[in-house]
Amino acid sequence: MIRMTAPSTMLIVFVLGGALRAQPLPDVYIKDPEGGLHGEPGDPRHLESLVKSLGPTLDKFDPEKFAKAFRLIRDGFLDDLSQTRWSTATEEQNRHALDFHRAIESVVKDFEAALKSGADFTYSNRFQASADADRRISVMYFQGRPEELALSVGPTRNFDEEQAKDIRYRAEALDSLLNEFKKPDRVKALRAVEAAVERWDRYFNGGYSMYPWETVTNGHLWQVSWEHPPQQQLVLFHPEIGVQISTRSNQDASFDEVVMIHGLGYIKYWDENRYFAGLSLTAIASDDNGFGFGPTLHLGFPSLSDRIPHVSIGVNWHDIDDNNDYFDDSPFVSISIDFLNLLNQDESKLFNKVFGLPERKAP
Amino acid sequence: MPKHQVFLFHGMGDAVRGTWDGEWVSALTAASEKYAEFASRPLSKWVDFVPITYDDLIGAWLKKWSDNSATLDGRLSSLGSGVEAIFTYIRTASKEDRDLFWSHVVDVVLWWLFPIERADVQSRVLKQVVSALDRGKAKPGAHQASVIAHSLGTAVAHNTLHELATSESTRGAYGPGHHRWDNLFLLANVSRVVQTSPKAYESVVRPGPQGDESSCCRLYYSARHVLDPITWVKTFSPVGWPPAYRPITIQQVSQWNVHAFEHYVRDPRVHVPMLRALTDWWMITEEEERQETDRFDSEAGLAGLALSDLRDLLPDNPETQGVLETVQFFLQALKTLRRGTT
Repeated sequence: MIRMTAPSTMLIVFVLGGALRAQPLPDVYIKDPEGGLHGEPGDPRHLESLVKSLGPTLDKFDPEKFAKAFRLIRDGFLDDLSQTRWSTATEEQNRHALDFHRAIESVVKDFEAALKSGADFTYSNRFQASADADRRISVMYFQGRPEELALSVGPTRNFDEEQAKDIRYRAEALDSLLNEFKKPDRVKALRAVEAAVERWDRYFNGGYSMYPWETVTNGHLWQVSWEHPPQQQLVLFHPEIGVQISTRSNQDASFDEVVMIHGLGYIKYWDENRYFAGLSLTAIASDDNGFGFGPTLHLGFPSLSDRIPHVSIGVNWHDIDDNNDYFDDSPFVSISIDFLNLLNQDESKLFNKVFGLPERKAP
Repeated sequence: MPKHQVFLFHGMGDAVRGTWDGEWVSALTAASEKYAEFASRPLSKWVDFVPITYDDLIGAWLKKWSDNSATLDGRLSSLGSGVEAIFTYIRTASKEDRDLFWSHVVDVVLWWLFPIERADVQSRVLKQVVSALDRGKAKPGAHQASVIAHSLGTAVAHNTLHELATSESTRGAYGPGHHRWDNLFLLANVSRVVQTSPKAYESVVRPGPQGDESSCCRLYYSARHVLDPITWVKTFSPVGWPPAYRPITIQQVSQWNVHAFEHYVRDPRVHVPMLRALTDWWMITEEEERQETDRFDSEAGLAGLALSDLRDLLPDNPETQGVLETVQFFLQALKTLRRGTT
């Protein structure tokens, strides 16, 4: 989205009170943890009342309806400004209230301009009642430049209590509206983060297992970010237990337990790390046939790894007749499954049931 | 108005206990109960604590690896980044050092030097943070969110907040123009020690005014105890940051383990600004603050600590401390702190 550049650049702080410690605080200044900032239910300045006055709620995202809600707040404030409700306010207080109205007017204009142009509308705490470090209660309005204009500071309050309530209620309502307006972006962010966790789960927990030295190497080899795990993996000195079978004759076709070390290999992931395939150069040690070596193919489905184990299938040669020629005998076929991954799945495993392994507990 | 959301990031080895967040909340609640206003408006009514846990992931990796025949020993040769040196050192270290390393310091090493583990943790931490923020912002009323982090948690929080504000998929909702953290309280701040990218002074995790695209919080408090050795290496001390950066340096000692979270929040110089920021400024009067500070200072004292001996382990310039030297120093510091508690 295009970021809106605000032409006007000013931060205005409307100071509602100074030297507040000297006297009891009226409720309007208190950020009551159990409510109170939004007016009484039924108060027209209450956000829910505003939303209700627009007909159906804002649940269904409709920018035009938001624009209308903003205008309602602005117009309502202007109405109050000319009403007797604020008759006790001094001229100076009313002048400050008018400044607040200008601030509302400005944000409504910004909002509507952003709607028309399709630009991004930044909203970070544009209106938020807060206490600053000097214990002045303020409502802030910001248009873009890191400069601050305090309209009044001192022991004399700049608004009477009714004005202060009105400003505060409307500021809170505006803040909530702006917050609500950004809901689609929040949902998008949440979905993106959830998807990233799933991708990482598939790569790191469901993918072809990695020993610590492999994770360090892969972490420095490939582009890594929390959003996107690597789409590839280097296999390095990776030990596995497997079996091999001779292809020489049916008589030799018995399973032979072997230790394999995938010395160096490369694995490629596809479809957001949902499946992978790769190739390694493997050394094999067998009690019966001694040392051997050959290529190994790795295949796996990380999202199904708790049900379908990753498989490595290799072709390897041994110097069975001790003539220093590994390739004059028929090759063996080796098969292994990724035990390191399989034994560390979070959920109950078919594998555990089949092989009667004890259930693993979380650390 | 909705409760102030306060995200808690634990330190190294904290989550092993499983009760760390309860202990933290108890410590904060105990501090708040020293002040009159909290009797009628208790902390629990103001604050919604959101514990962010990542230690369980680290524990799971270690178990996964150590359960297999190939352990962490060996095989880490020629990988650079100081990893080999650390594990070589640990293999030959005393049992006490090895135990401390696997229970505490390994968290730091994995976060610091293992990019894949770090990114995996970060995605899961971000999920916890974004889910909670979304819940908080969905409630009517002004949303407030702050962070309290301790030790390694300060580094985790730093990276998490920076990524949240700048990553393509999250900045539309949580970039500086859309979301501003109200307060960051980083206790025993090690975000510079284990910094990766961006560096702690160069990220958006700094205070700034509304709308400032280069900052993501309103107020940034960084507290360190002068005797906390964990903060001696690459001490967090930015120059030229705005007044909204509030360093807090404390020196009173009320228990041997001066690095502990509870020890930090027991000091009114830490918990008074914290409690005010999480509730409201008027909840603790200036008179109460002065009285509690005087009382605390009169009861606490500088015990005969052997911590000063640790200074000898540091090179002349802790700013240039290497990876292995930092790990060795942390181990020595933890041993010293633990001896005092037993």
